[in-house]
Amino acid sequence: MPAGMGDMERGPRGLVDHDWLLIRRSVVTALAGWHDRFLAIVLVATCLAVAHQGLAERTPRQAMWIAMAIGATAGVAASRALADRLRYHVGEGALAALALQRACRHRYLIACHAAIVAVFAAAMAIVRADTIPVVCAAYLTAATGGAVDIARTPVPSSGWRRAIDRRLLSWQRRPAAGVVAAVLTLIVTLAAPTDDSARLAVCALASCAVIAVLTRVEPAVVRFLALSGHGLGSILLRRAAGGLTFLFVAPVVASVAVGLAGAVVVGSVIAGMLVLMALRIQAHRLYARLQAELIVAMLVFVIAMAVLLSPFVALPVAALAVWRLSRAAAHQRWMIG
Amino acid sequence: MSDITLSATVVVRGKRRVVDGIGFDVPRGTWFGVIGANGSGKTSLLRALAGRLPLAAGICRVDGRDLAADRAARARSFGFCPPADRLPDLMRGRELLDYARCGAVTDHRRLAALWSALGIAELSDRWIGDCSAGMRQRLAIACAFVGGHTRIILDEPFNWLDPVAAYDLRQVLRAMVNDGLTLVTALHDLPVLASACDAGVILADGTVAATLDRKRLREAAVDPQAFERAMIDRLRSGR
Repeated sequence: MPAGMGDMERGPRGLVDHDWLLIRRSVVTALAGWHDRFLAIVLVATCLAVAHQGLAERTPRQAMWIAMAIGATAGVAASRALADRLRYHVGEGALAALALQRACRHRYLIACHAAIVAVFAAAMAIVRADTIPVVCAAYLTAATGGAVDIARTPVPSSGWRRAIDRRLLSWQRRPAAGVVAAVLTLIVTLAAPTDDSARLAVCALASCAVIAVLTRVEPAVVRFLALSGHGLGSILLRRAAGGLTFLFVAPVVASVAVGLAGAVVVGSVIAGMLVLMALRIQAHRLYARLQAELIVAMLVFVIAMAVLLSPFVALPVAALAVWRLSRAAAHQRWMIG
Repeated sequence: MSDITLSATVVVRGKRRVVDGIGFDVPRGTWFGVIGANGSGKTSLLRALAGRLPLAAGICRVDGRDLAADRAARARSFGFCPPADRLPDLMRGRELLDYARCGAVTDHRRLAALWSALGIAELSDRWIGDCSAGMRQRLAIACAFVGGHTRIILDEPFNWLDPVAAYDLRQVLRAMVNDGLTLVTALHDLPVLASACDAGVILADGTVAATLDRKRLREAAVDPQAFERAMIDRLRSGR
């Protein structure tokens, strides 16, 4: 054994300990105030209640198929997320020497999948207990099938997917992209059936798809810009010039294609996505990736609840959410030194 | 005797050979500098040497054993400085170092001077998320040493450090090398290469553009400006 590696007895537990500590701290930080904890409990209870309501009304056969789909989707997503996490450990983490050992990786994956299955089983016990075996089996089958040996897989690099990704991210920064996107939305809308409501739906969906591409957030870039002294406005102008242009052009296009109602719907969709982008930018300036996404998910839930009450209530709630994160993020500049 | 020997090593990222047939020897107890333009392959070479990237071809002998096909063994053989900006925010300095030592017993006496130069005592209880770029860099450097390795790889260790910290670190590293440490560093600063390193290479487009032995670096230390001018011309010409 090379000098300095010690007994490695801590090895197999090192990766799990490391990530478990970070998960615990992410949750504690994300739920720091009593109102955050209250919101999280309401969120989880609502999700479980909705899921219970949805599955309880189904026949056993339908419930099994739904459970299988949920388990399989979660299995694939979890196996990808864990592979990404192991890639971090191998390439950029302080525990690379452990992560490169096959036995350590296997134990890490087994521990993580076991924890996820336990959480799933507990949730399904509330939602619909007879689906537990199916959801767990589907999860494990998908997770095993989607497993990737990251030590053998080359680090993803300049493949065609990354090239497209880079190109899209580059377009996102250009105002002209908003105009091109609006023209595309118009073409798609005019190609739809002449029925007004169908056209309105197509126009809204097309706008939603386009703005989702134009408002992507790269956490690393956001953090770098924040460290370099850029605030929310500056980051939005730099990263979402296409989306901001689309906000002004698309409602005009929608009003031409489907009338005033189209303009209102499309404008609302785009504004909503830009608010989501602002929330994500501010959260990523303040928190680590997982925490940031958790907090944004909670805030989106609150805003969605407000929308159900009234869109007019949602507006100040969304503004309050952005303001609250902005206030905290204002101190996250100029950390160089 | 060579502690590390690279021969015809190739590192591929995507379809590009970012390191293309590089070879050099690093004797035990020496400081070896790797210098080159941005994108010349320095970081990929060091990461591959430390097992963080696979080697597509070539020989990588460490202490006489060819570890080219064994990333895990390469990672165990070297203390490596992880990228400072990727350290976890939600950990305190001492927790990070505790994980980074991977169960090894830290020799505090051997590391006392280094810990002092890096200011580790002040960083121990600080959240990494609250650290400046320079503080993160200090912790990242400490990660490479905490496992007690006798071969260390540091990628541009003086980045972000203030002039005093950079000077102190250079002195301590030199003293540790004199005590038997084998150190491989990527550098951007030609005068540092000339004054601190025992040998080095200049990379251009993933290949060795020039090899600098101890004699050449001693001459360079006498007239660092002339050395810098000559090397810049060489880097500009891409040879």
